[in-house]
Amino acid sequence: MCQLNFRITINQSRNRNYKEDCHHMFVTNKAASKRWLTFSVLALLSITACEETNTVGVDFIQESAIQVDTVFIDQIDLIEIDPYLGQLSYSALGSFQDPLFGEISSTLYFKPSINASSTDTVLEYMRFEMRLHLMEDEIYGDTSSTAEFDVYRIQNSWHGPSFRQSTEVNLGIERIGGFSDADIDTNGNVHVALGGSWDAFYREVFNIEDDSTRLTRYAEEDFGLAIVPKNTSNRIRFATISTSRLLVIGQEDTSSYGMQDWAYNIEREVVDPIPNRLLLHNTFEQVLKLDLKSLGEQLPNTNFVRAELVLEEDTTRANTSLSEHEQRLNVPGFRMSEGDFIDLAYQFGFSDNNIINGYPAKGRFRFDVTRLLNDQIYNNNPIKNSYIYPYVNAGYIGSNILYSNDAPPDKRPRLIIHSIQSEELK
Amino acid sequence: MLDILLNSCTLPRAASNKTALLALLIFLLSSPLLLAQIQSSNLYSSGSIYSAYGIGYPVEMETGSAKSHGIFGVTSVNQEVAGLTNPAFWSQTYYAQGASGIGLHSIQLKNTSSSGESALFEKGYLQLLFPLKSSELGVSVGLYPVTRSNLKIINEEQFLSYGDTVRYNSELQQMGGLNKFEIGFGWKLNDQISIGYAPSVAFFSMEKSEAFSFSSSLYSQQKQKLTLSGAAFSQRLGVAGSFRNVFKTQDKISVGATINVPFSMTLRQDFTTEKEIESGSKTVDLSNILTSKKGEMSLPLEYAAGIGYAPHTRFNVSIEGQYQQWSDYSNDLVDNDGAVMADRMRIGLGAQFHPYKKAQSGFFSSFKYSAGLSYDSGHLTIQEEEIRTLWLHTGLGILSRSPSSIDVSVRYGFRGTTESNLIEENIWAIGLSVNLAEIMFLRPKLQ
Repeated sequence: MCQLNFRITINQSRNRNYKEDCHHMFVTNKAASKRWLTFSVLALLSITACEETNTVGVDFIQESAIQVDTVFIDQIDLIEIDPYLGQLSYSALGSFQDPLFGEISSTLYFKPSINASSTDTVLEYMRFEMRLHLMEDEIYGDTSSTAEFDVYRIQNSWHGPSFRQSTEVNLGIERIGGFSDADIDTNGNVHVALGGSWDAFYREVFNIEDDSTRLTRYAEEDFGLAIVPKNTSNRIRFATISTSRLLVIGQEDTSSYGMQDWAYNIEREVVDPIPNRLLLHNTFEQVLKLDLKSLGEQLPNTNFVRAELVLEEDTTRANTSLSEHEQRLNVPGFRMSEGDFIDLAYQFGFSDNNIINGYPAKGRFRFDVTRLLNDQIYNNNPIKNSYIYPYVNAGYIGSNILYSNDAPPDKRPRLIIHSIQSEELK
Repeated sequence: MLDILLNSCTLPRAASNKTALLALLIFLLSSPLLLAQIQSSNLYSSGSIYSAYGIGYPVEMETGSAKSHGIFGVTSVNQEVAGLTNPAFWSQTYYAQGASGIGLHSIQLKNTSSSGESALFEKGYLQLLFPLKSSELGVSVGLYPVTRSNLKIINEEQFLSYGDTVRYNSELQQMGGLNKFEIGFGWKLNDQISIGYAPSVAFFSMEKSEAFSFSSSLYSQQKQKLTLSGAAFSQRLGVAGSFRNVFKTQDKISVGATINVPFSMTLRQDFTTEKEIESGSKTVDLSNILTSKKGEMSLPLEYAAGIGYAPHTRFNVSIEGQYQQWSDYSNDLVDNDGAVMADRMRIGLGAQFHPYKKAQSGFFSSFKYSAGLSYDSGHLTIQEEEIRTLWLHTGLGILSRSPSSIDVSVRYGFRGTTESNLIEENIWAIGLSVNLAEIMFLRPKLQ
């Protein structure tokens, strides 16, 4: 709304005749005032009577519109990362012959705690049992079969928080115990009797009265146990070691001890490459590395409102490659990390900084890279290294098959640029 | 506006006009509020849709008195206000005058399938007129719009994103136009002929903003703004003739003509938007994506002429014509959006009755009555359709025995067509002009 505001100064000098005129006006303007009032009220009413009706399309006025451009990603590098697999929320154990992603076998390592003070004693008649908690529904592989496992002693030192896929673990040949996942109870627990030399050693050390000696010997002479899948197993289970317990079972009472460390490793069969496809696992055997900085420099000269990186998944091949009763665990999405990172495995596995999530939708993963490109183009802050990888998912093993940059255009990795196509720019 | 009214009378009159002032104050203050309600949710609102083209729709600069009987102010017969249109009339001023006007347009619009309303409250001209030599040489200082674009269009569109329909609203708001600040003079050559010259600074300022909002949360709201500005020297000339006792005693013929010299202006445009970056939101200059940042605008030749006849002081009739050569208009920066600029012809015919000039009593004898008709061929041809306007004019003049006056004009216009899916506008236009006049220099009477 606009309003005029100005002041006009009128010369106040007047002659006598004009004053008389004004006096005359004073009399006659009483009637005029009433007319003004009448007019103003009428005018006001006429405006108040306005009201909205329907709207009118104005399609002959050319307005700006949203334009969609595609920039294909021609260069994708693949790098291999050695992931951290220790002390995750879920630890894999088992093996599965995945028709698409190849055979995968996982061994679980754990080391029970020992009593820190000499208040308890393991008596002769007492026995040891591992109460292993398994996730009931999360199964990678054949849901109709059972998986069997053997337990062996570990021969070398390892450390969960720094445990990587490449960490070497040697196992003894003595079978300490074994179980089948068919023995899982209604609480999701499997009870595994532990015996052999480990029983003898643990019992001996447990009963050492001197705390320091007990703990030192346990740390230096015992390296925990490994749960190894038997060859007959065709599925991978996931255990929550933080809720699993070592039970010391007596005649009348049972003591339980938690796990002081755990990890798992995987052995994956190398499969032949599939043309125009990328096989990606959330254990980072292959991670995509993109040069987004160069892509940003190739963008069309427009006012873009959204730039998204799109990866297409070959859902057909993924869904049809499994037999009946076989299943894979869904990877909840992909992540992009952008920056200069000292430890890529840590960044990919545990960091929440410099992350852009690529949520899955209808067989594709879309990453909003608008802010990154805005920063590069409008804030003189060039995009750094960009990596894309499947979400770690707390230890659950998952894989995806994506179309590569050699795939047909509608499936190729690409940047989708939504920009305002202004009339002034046409 | 209140200031004008407060200063327009001496103290006794100011006291007497309290009721009138109060009424007018209510009227003026209420208008914007009411209009705000009207405009709140229109798909298209604020002024004529045809002001979207070029640099806006040409604005009439005539006084309220001229506007109320369909003429443009090229001639002046029985008129109390010199006006801006013809600089030659500035020579005839005896009083120091201040004049201004405001207008309210209520537009009912329709195409072949729907209808709607829009409204516009617009400020008009401002003129100060000083007699350097009474009734012989006058100087005018004026500030007035030449073209005006004032509209808002909300457009609903959609696009497909992987099979999902993403709807978005784009709100286009375009405001501004060409204005002139003018200092000119009128000089009376002899009892019949006057001439005038008005150089001015023409300055152009227009802002076109577009805001986009999306139905999907994946897309954040966007706003971009294009501003255009420029200034140039322009000039116009006027000539007027006044002849008394032509056909009979006390009759009067007034003729006049004006010419606006074409001129060019260098325009500069800037394009900005808001961008989300790491540290928050930032206004960024996107002018580099414009095809050009500077460009030339050429405004066309314009001339007008008219004749008015008053058989006596209480009645006058006038006919005037105006021609604007818009086909010569060019603009490197502002696209015409598919419209073709066409030469514009305006013809106006009207009459006025001044019963108050004869001593008689009665309510209806206190006003000046005006009526007229005007035709405007328009300056736009869109999809091969000329955007013409036919106006019916009427108005009331509220006068006092002093030279000050108020003119209320009411017009009804038919603009455009529904052919080719264009829009026809039926316009109610109410104008209010205030002319304040006082003797500027008073010679002391001889004792």
